[in-house]
Parts: sequence; C-alpha cells; structure tokens
Amino acid sequence: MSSSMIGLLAFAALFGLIAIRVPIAIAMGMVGAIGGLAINGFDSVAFIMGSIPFESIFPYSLSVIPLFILMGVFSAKAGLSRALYDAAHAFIGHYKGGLAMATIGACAAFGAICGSSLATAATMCRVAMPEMRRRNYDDGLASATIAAGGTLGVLIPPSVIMVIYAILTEQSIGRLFAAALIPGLLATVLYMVAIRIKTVHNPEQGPADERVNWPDRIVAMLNVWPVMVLFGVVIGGIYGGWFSPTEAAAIGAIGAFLLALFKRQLNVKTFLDCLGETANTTGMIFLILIGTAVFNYFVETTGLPQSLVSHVGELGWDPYVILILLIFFYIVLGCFMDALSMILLTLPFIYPLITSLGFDPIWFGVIMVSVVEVGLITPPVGMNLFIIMAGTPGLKLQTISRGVVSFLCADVARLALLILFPALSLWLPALLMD
Amino acid sequence: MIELLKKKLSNITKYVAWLGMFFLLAAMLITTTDVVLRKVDNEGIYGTIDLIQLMIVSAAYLSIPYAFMTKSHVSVSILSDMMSPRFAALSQLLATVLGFCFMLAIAWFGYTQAQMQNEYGDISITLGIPMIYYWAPILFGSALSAVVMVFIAVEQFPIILTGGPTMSSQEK
Repeated sequence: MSSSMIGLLAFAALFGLIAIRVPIAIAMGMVGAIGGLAINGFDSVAFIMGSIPFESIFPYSLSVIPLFILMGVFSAKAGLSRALYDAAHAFIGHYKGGLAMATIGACAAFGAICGSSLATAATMCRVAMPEMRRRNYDDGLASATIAAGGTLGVLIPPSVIMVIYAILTEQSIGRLFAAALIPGLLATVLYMVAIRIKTVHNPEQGPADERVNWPDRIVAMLNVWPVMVLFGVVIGGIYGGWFSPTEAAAIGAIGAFLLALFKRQLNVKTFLDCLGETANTTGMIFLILIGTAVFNYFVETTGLPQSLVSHVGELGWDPYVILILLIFFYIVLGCFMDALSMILLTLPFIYPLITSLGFDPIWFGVIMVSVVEVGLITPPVGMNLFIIMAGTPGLKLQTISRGVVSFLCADVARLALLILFPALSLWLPALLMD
Repeated sequence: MIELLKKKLSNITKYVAWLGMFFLLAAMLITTTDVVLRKVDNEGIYGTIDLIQLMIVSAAYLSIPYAFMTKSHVSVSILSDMMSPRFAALSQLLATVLGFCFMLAIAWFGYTQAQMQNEYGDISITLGIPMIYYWAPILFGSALSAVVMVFIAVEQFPIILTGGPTMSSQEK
C-alpha cells in the first residue's frame, strides 16, 4: 500500500476516533504513531515517540502559552468584568439593545486582557446575563450576545490561539497580534450593528435602559483603569520593543495577579482554584501539541501535503475561490470541532497550500482565527454556547441557537471585508513593525 | 474501594498539577525579574532561558494527568451523546486504552532517550543543567497519566456489564 493511501486511511481512522469521543490529542498521537509504524517501521516510531514529546514542549517560545493562560485566569478572577460592563453600559445602555451592545463592548475590552474565548464568555455570562434578564431582554438575544462577545477573546490580542498559530507557522507573534487588532475592533462594531438592527426591528427583545448622567459615566470610566493599564503594558510593551511576547505574558500575569490581590478577590482557595484552572487548560493544550507533533511527523512522511498542493495547483482555480472553499470547509468543521483542534489538525495541509497560492501568512492567520472563532458559536458543538447554557438556568440550545443567527451574519460580513481589504489586517503590523 | 482510589488519585493529580503551576509561577517571576534587571542594570538573570524551559516543561507535563482526571482533554461528544450508556462506556474504554498506550509509549520510549542523554552527559546550553532534570517531569507526568487512564478504564466496566452507573457512583 502506498504512503498516500496509508495517509488517507489514517485520516479516516482519525475522524472515526474523534467521532466516538476519543480525546483529539490521543487520537492524533495514536494515529500518527500507528501510521508512522506502517510506513517507517518500529525503530523510527520508537525514536519519534521518545523524542517528540520532549521536543514539542521544549522550545522557549511555547512558554508564552501558559503565561497568557495564567494572565487570563487571574484577570477573570480579578472582577474586572463588572467594571467593564458598567462602563460600557453607562455610555450606551440607554439605546434599544444597549445592554447587549454594552456586553459586546465589555467582552472586547475583557478579551484584550484575557486571551481566551471560553473564559471571556463564562466571565461575562455571570455579569451580563442576570442584568439582561432583569431588564426583560429576550433570552435568545442575551445569551447569543454573550456567546458571540466571548469569541472576541480569541480575536483581540493577546490570544492564545494566535500564539499557537504563530509558533506553528514560524510567524512573528507581535505581527500577528497587530494584524488582529483592527479585525477585532471591526468584529466588535459589526456585532453591535447586528444587535442594533435586531432591536430596531424587534424592540421588545432589547428594551432601552435609563440614560446615565455624565458624572456617573466618568466614575464608571475611571473604574476600568486597571484594564487599560494591563492591556497598555502588555501590548504596548511588545510594540514599544520593551519586551518579547513571553516577557509581556509574564508581566501581564503578574499584573493580573496583583490586580486580583488588590481587589481582594484572592485568598488561598481562589488562588489554588486559579492554579487548577490554569493547569487544566495548560495540560489540555500541551497534550494537543504533543499529539499534533506526532501526527505531523506521520503526515510529512505520507507526502499528502505536497500532493494536495500539486493537485490544487493542477486545478488552475483562482486562489480566492480556493480560499472561500477553505473558509466554508472550516465553518462546517467548526460545527463539530473546537477551534484549537481544528487549527492543529488542518494546518500541516492548509498552510503549505495557502503559501503556495501566494497569500500572506499573517493575513491568513487572522482569517483562520476569525473562521475557527465562528465555530465557537455554531451549533451543535459551539463551545461558547455550552458555556452560556451551563451558566444560565433554563436556557435551551434552540433558544441560544436562534439568537446567534444575526451574529453569524455579522461574522460572514467581517470575513468578506477581511478578504476584500487585506489592508484591514496588514496595515497596522506594517505601520508598527516595518 | 474504587471511590477511595478515585479520591486518592484525584488528590495526587491535583497536588502534582499545583506543583507544576508553582513552576509556572516561578517562570513568571524569573522572566519578570529578568526584564526589570535588564532595564535597570542592563544585565538580566544569567541562563533565564534554560530555567524557563525547565519550568515550562515541568508545568506542562505535571498538568496533563490532572487534565485527564478532570476529563478536560478536548473531545467531540456528538455521537456518544446519542449512544446507549453501554456503548458510550465502550467508546470511553477504547479512548482510555488508546490514551494509556500513548502515555505509556511516551514514558517508555522517553525513558530510553532520557537514559541515553544521561549516559552521554547532555546538559543545557547556558547553565549546564543535566538534561535528565528536564526529562524527570516528562517521565513522571506521562507515567501518572497512564495510571489515570487505567483507573478511568476500570470505571467503565460496570457500565459495560450492566448498563448502570460507575463503580464509584455505586459506592456513593
């Protein structure tokens, strides 16, 4: 049997294992090992299984991942989400759908110090959902707003998924963060527009709140200074050339820790909870990295990525047609898989193809993260939907699924804008780093 | 018995994960101190990268068993949600057997590599830390993960045999 055929069978086995709930890291690792055994023999696999688990974790650049996770966990614990929500509400809460728009604004700001979609969604759910329910907001709109807002945690830097993309494709983390900033703000604006359109046509879904006077607005703004300082130090530090992304993550983690301490949100129990949460996410991500490394070793030996590139080249299709097909593929895949697994599973194939088509890897990174982020709110496996449902008694999947439709339209519009105008992603990194 | 074992294993993996996270906190402090010293004194901590690599490897591998124990590793549950409890337990058993094989293979073949590097006297680039120190958390974390996998597999047997709850929940 040829290597390519073994590769294709391995892919079928991989998807079969994933479908019956084998953890994705284990499925990739075992399929990679067994496939490698079939092609290269025992000695090669024994060497790979002995060396890859070390080499895939050892690079210094990977230290940025758990440090950003730690920063996000401490930020979530620091109770900053309440202040962010109050500040956004003070300015736009009096419009129809204002509370929902405030939630999106708060999610965007929280995403700027958190870097995790799930943490952003879970944290904002605790703050915003009871408020919106109290003001008679439609459950579908309220829950979908938080789910969609949570995705901004992935897009607005710092973002753990972007760090992983940058490391795997050997791109600059700072450049990728800069490229994602405007698309992140664009997503925020488009989500707000979606809410506005929805509530103008259905005012009963998001009734207007009372207008907040200016002194209270100023007080609310002053309360969010820790977020501004933390974001300014982390992101400003990277672009100011003061420190590397890893150092920025370490300083951000200390800053978030001190904020949580200063706000009296940390005691021994909550501190250990933070460590447990960080350990869970760290263990999960690093095991996927190990599984992916073993799988990638196997994929390289099958020659499938090169075959894919040459086959697609022979088709002679317009690169943008291929890109749109890829985006469609990711949106469908996103209905069944989580963002990180999708990126790690497909990148060995897709990345050579994209670069061979002449697309900018940084620009594609933003597109890819934007697309997989859509998967976080598409049923049936939208992780953010489950997070919101877990934190909201009585909320049904049908209700929240109905609500996300308008946000998905906003996502499609954003993707179209990013494809039509690459400068939306590439202008800022060129300005800051060239 | 199973409940007691589960409690003990949960505690062990939790303490091990906390240990890993203390390594991460140490990495955070060392990195920050290094930045501050570089800015103030123009001279950072010697061998920061060696230390950070050691700590991140430790943090990662010591967290993996905890993530297994708390079932935090990412999996897709669409089909298994539609399966009968018995069939879902069977697929869970297959997942744990594969997980056991994978983690044991890392520990087994990693041990051979670690032993070889130790015999050659391999050390880190700047501080000269023996590479066996880097291997220790890898081997320990992957071996502990394999043990956790065995426990989770054993938990599935009553469901497979009777279609009922797990042993630990029966004991409760």
